[in-house]
Amino acid sequence: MSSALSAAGLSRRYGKTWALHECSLEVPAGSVTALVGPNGAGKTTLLEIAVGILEPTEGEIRLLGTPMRGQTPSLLSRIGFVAQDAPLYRNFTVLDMLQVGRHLNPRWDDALARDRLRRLRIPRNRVCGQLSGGQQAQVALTLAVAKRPELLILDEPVARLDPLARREFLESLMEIVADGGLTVLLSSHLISDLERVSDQLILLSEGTVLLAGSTEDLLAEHAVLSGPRHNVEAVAARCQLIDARATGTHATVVVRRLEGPVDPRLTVDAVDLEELVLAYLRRRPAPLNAAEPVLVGGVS
Amino acid sequence: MSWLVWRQHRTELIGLALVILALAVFVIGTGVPMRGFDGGLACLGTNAAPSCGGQGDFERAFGWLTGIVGWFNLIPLLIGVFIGGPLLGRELERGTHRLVWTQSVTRTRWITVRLLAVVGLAVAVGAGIAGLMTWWRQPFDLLDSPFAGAGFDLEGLMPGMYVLFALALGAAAGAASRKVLPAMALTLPAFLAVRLPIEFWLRPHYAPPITALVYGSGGGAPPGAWVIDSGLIDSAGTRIYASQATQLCGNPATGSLPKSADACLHAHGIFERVVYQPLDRFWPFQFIEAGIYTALCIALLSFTVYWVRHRLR
Repeated sequence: MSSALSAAGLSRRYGKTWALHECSLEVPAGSVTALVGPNGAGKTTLLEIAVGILEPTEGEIRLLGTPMRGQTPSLLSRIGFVAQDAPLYRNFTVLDMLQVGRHLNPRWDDALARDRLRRLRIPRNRVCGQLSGGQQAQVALTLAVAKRPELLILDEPVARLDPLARREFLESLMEIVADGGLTVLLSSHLISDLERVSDQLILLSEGTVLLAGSTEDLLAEHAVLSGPRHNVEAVAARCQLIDARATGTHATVVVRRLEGPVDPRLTVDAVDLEELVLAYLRRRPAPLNAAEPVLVGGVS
Repeated sequence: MSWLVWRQHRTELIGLALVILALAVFVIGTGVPMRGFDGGLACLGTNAAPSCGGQGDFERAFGWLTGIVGWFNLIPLLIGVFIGGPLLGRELERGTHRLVWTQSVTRTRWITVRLLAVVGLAVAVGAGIAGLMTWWRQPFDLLDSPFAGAGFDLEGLMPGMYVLFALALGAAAGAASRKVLPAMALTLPAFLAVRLPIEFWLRPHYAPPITALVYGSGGGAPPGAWVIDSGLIDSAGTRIYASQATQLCGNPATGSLPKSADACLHAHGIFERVVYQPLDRFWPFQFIEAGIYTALCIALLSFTVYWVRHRLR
C-alpha cells in the first residue's frame, strides 16, 4: 500500500522546545488514520506542517507522492483541511461559505456541497456565527470535502462537540469514507472518539511517535497479563513490557509480542485500544523490577 | 480571492463610498455658489479685474468652509483604522486564515491580493479626494496659496499617499498583532506620529526657504507663496514685536500700526522679513513628500509580506 503522507525525521522547534522531534510516520493511502495524543503532544504542529501552514525546522514530508516544499496550489487542491475549532467567517451565510470554496478551488463540487448541507439540514441562509457548534463543524467539513480531496486532514474535529453532535459528525465522516478514494488523517486527544472510525493509529506524545500501525495489528500484538506478581514478572521478562501496575502480590502488565506458553496461573486478556494508548502514555514498566510496590489506579 | 476580499470588507467599503459621496455633495453644494459669487474665479487673486467687488467679501462668505475641509484630513486615518486594521487582523484573530490558506490558494497569493486591493483602494480614494478638493479649492488657491490650509494635504498626490500609508500601517499592525482591536489601536497613533511631524517639521524644509527683506511692513511674498514665517526685524536682525513697533511708529493709544508708519519704521532701520516657499515648489514638494510616504509604504508592505510568509501559522 502506498503512502498518502509520509514523514521522515520531521522536527519543529519553538525557541528551545521541540514541538515535534524526529517524527517518522506513514499514513497509508485509503486508510483512516487516527492521530492521538494528549494536549500539547504536537498533533496540531504535525498537521499544520502537513498542509503547509507551518514549515518544519528539520526533516521532510511527502504528500500524495510529492515532497512538500512550501504550499503550491496544485498540491493544496488535492488536500482537504479543517483546522482546529473549524474556523468559518462568522458573518458569512452558509451559502457565502460555499462561494468561498467555489472561488478558491479549481475542483470544487458545488452539487456535492449543497447536497450534503441539505441532508444535514443546515440552514443555508443563516450566518455561520449563529450555527451550532456541530453545524459549524459540518459546514467546515463540507467545504473540505467539496474540494474533492485525495487526503482529508482534520484537526480535533470533534473536540468542541457535544456527544450527540460528535456521533453525527463521525457518522457523516464514515459515509464520506465509504464513498471511497479518500485517505483521512484526523486527530483527537481522546482515542475513544476515533476508535470506531479509524483503522490506523499514530500515538504522539511530547513531539515523538510512541506507537504507530494498523489498529488491528496493534491489538493483536499486545496483551494484558494479570496474576501473582512473581509469575507475571517471569512472563514479562520474555516479551516487551509496556506498562505495569502492581498492588502487593498482584500485578497487571501490558506486553507486546507475547510468545510461547503462558503460566496457567495468569489471565491473558486482549487489550482494547483505549487501554493500549493509556499504557503507552504511562509507560511505566519499571515497578516490577523495583523493590517498591506501586499503587494502582486513581493516582495517575 | 478578490471576491472574498470584497465580500469580507463590503460593509466598510460601502461606508467609505458613502463618505466620499457625502464629500462630493459638500464639494458641489458649496463649490458652485463660490463660483457664482461676484465675478467668479476671475475676481479672485492678484489678477482680479478692477470691476470686481472686494475679495474680502468672498473670504467672509466662504472662508469658514476651509475649517470644515480641514477635517477631511481624517479620512485617510479612518480608512487605516477601520479597513487597514481588520484587513489581516480579523482573519488572523478568528483563525480563518487557516481556512483560506488550505483552499487551493497559497498564503503568498492571499497576502498579494489583499495588498493589491489596498493599493487599488488608495489610488481610487486618493484620486477621488484630490479631484474633488482641487476643484473645490480653486478659489482659495487663487486667493491664498495651495500650500495653505489643507491644500497641500488634500490636493495632488498626497491624499492617495496618506490613504496608502494608513492602510499599510493597519495591515502591518494586523499581521504583527494578529488581533483586530490592537491593530486598530496601533494604527491611530502611529499614523499621527508620522503624518504630523512630516507636515510641520519636514515639509517646510524640503528646499531651503527664501527669505525676503521688505521695506516697511505688509506684503513681501509673491502671490501663491507659502509664508512660513514673517515679522519685523531691526538692522541687527533681532525680532521686533508688533507692540514695540507700535510704540515706535504707531499709535500706542489704539495699538494700531498704519501703513503710513512704514517710513518711520524704515527710519528706525526696521524691515519686514518674510520666509516663504514660492508657488512653483508646490509640485516638487508633492513629489518629495509622496516619495517619503512611498518609501514608508514599501517598508511596511515588505514587512507585512515577510511576516505573513514566514512568521504566521
